[in-house]
Amino acid sequence: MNGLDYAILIGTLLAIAGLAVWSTRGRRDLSAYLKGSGQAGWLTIGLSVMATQASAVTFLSTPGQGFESGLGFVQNYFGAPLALIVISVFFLPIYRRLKVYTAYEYLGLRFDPKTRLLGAGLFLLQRGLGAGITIYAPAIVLSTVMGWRLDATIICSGLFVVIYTVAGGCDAVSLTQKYQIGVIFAGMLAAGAVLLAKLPPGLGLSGALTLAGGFHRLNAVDFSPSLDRRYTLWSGLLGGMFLALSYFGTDQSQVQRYLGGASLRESRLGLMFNAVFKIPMQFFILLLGVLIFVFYQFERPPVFFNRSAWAAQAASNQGPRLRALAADFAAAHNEERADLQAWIAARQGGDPAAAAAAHAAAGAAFARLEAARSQTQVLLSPGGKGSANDSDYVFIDFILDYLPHGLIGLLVTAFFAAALSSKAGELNALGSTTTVDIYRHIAGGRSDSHYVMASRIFTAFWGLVAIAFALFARLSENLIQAVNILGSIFYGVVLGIFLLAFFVKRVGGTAVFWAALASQSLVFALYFTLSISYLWYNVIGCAACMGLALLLQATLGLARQAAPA
Amino acid sequence: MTPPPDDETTGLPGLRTWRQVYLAVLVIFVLWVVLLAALDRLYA
Repeated sequence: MNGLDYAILIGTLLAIAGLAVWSTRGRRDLSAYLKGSGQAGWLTIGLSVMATQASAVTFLSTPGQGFESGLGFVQNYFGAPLALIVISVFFLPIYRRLKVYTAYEYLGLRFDPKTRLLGAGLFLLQRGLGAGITIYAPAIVLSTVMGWRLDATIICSGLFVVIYTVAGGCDAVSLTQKYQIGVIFAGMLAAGAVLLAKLPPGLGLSGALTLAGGFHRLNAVDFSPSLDRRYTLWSGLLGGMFLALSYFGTDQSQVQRYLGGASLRESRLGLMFNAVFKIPMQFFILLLGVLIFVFYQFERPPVFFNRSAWAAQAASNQGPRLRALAADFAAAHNEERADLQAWIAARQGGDPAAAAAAHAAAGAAFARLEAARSQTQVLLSPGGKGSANDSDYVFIDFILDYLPHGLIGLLVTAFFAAALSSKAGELNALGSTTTVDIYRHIAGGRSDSHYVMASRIFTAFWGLVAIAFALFARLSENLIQAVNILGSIFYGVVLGIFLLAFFVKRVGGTAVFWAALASQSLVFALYFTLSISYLWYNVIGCAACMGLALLLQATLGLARQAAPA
Repeated sequence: MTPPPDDETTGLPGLRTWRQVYLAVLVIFVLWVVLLAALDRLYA
């Protein structure tokens, strides 16, 4: 990065912080601080919902997923449009009619205080840990770009986010997100355009897709009924729908975004905006990763994208083995590149037999190249067990090596804009939930300014918890998957509680409370013993919670409680 | 005849009721799945 890149990065970060502080100055009204001024239109809500979900992890890690595994990850989002319709029809009108600050406040009105506290507690636990992962992601970017220590980077970037978030209320979060997502899209589109321009002459987009398809990078829809496969049409539709229903419908970081809508119509349209654009957005980000994969068939990539980790190990007694693997990798890549160039020439010359032969030879060279890469990943894994994951470094590595200055600054700014926007939404929600569902429950009858101050303090507290978690987290998973796995462990049960609240009027709080605790324990136990796709835990947790609550209500004769809505 | 409340109108041209909006969203979703499946078949 040069001076121009740093100027773009620092200027934008300071502008975001300045905007947040300026737009929320002197705010002492609890409703305005937690829900906004109630004037947000559908586009602001839609972009705010999108920006809260699409963190730096999305833009940093998803292209790496596309590079490593192709388009299959898009199936993770297949349930989102269906879930958003359900939320728009059933959840949203109730939240708005009851004028709640948080989704868990509704559980208190519908059931009892202990169920509200349980719902809020599960959210705080899950989102507090998830917030750590989303601080960890931009810290990787910074430490790679600037050569800083990862722990120092986590603390510095985390504290910056905390200061910005504590200063900004809900309106400031939504407003800044609207501009941040513009910066993000501009950066990603620019990266896509440069990537296409850098593909070899004669290949073109169609040739690039053919090549990607030949290496199984375009398998977007898997119809297999297998439960073990991580992403299939069925796990995406069913598990993904439960995940999205829980995330968008019951996670306060999302509920808070659309509660601030000027009307029910604006909130609904904001959700439908996401229902339409979520899948295409994820598809294009994954496609970027697939195109990087194609690009690297012609330009030699590093054998391991986390270059600092490779260099550190290469200096140890594993150095000779790692260097030998790097040499194998380079030789196989040279061979593959020559075969692919022959393939392009044969295609252009209209010689299908020569094209097929060249493609087959390239496939054989690619297999040797992948073997060298896999062995390197095993050597670099902690303790030599498993496989070190470097897919999160693929996109940033490409940006730093192949994008012009100015554009590097724009992309790195886009990562940080994404990190700040999602982090602001998450910490804002964590602070709100702790204040409204726990602190105000314990210490009621205080002034609005007191609760606004309490909310700021709790926001800072959760920011520090997230930083601490990020410092100790060493994730073997790809980052975007780690976030979804963590969510899936908790979201199913939370969703079960809310579905019982919305649709099963004859179940009372006590049955739901104990059923939720038992179901969460069950999900934990299954997670550590089974090897099924994590998306299914959303279904299992939800079904177990609902089934157990109905059973408890029926068999133990727990007192029925009337629903207010 | 009183006009429907603000929340009941969608404000979208061609999609006057929420039922029509949801149907349109579902159709777009199905189209995406079909296109993604076709992309794989086309370039396999």
